[in-house]
Amino acid sequence: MTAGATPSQTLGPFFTDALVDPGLARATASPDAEAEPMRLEGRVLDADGSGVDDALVELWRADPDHPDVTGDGHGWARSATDAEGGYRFWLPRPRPLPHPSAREQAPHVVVLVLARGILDVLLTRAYPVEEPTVPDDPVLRRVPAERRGTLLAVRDGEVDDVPRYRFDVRLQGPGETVFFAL
Amino acid sequence: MNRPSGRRDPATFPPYLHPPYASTVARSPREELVALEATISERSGPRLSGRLPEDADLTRNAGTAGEAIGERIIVTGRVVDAAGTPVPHTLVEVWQANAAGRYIHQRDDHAAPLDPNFVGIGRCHTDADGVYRFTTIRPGAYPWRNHPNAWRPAHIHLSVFGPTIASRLVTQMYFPGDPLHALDPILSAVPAGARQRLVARYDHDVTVPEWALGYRFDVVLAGPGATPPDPGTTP
Ligand SMILES: [Fe+2]
Repeated sequence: MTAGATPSQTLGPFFTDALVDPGLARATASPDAEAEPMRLEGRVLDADGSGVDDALVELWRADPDHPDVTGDGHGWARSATDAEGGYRFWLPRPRPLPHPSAREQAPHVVVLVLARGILDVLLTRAYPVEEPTVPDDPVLRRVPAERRGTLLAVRDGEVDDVPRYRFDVRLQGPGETVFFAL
Repeated sequence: MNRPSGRRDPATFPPYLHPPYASTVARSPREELVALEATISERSGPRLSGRLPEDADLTRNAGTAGEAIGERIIVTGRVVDAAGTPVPHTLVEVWQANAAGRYIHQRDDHAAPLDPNFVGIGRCHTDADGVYRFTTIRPGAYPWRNHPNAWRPAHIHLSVFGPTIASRLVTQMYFPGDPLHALDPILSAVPAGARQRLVARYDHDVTVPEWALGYRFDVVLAGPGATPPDPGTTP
C-alpha cells in the first residue's frame, strides 16, 4: 500500500533569495531543437486587478524530441514578479506537440504560478499567437469557448529584435485565467 | 469519479480559498479548474542538476567561516511518486527562518536577531534511491499579521520537482509536538486526515551521536491521474 500524497502549502513571501536568480528566467533548448527565440511577458493580477508583487512564475516547454525528462534544465525557466506583478521569460519558440487523440497540439508552454496566498501550484498554458485568434487545439477545445482567450499569449511587438508575446495571469475576477486540474 | 492519487484530490490538497488564511481571499481562482488529460506537456519535466547544484549544509553555506547558531538537525526522506516508486535525481530546494524565527528578507521585519552565519537556503538532489538529506538548524517560530497574535509554527519550506511538471510540489515541513499547529491557518487549510503528513517524524536512527538530531520527512508526489476527472466533480 502506498502512503497518501503529500499536501501542498503556500510558497509564502520569503522565497526570493532561495529560489530566484536572474539567469533562471531564460529557458534553453536541447542542442538538436529549433531555437528561434521569443519573449513571454506579463503580469500576475489579483481579484482587484492589482499586480501580485511576490509571485513566482515558472515555465515549462516540452520538447517533442524528448518526451520524458529533458537534460540539464532545458525548457524550464523561473521568474519572480516585480513591483507591478510583472514577469518575463526568454525561451525557444515552442513547437507543435503530439496528443493522445492523434491530433496535434498547437505550440504552447505550461505556466505555473505560486505565491503567498496560493495554497497549491496553479497550472495553466500560454499559447503564443500573432493575432488574438484561438488556435485549433485539442486541449483548448475542452475549455469553455468564452474562456479560451485567457490562454492566448498575443504578439506585442519585439524587444531587441526578439518577438514578444504578452500573457497576463488573472487569479480571480473578470477574465479569470483558466487553470487546469490534472 | 474521484481519483485518490489525483493532483487535486480534495481529501489531500487544501482548497485555494481558505478565508482563515486571509491572503487566499483575493488570490484564489473562483472558476472551477478545467480537467485536463495529461499530454506530453504535463508528462515531461526538467532535470536541473546542471543549473542548480547541490548545496545541502545550511549550517555552513553562508560564505563565512562560521557556523549557524541553533539546534543542529538532519532532515532526510525519500521522494516517491504516486505509485510509491522512488524518484531519483530530482531537485529539492529548502528555505527557512533562523533559530530566532527571522528570515534574511527585506520584507521580514520581525524584531528577532539575524545570524550572520545563516542564510537559510539549501538545495539537494535525490540520490538513485530517491533519498534527499539536509543538515540545518531547527528554525524558530515567527509572528505574522494574518490575525491578532498570529504565529507560524516552526517550519521548513520545500520545493520538489519530481518526475514531471505535473508532480511539482511546494510545501512546508513541520516539527512534531508543536502546540502552534492547531492555531495555524496555513497548516489547517490541509484536510484534517492529511495534515499529519506535513509533520516530520523524529528518527533516532537518523540522529548522529554527538552531532545532530534526525528528522524524517518522506514526500509522496501526486501525479496526473490515469483518466481525466469527471467535469462534474472537479474541485
Ligand atoms: Fe515561512
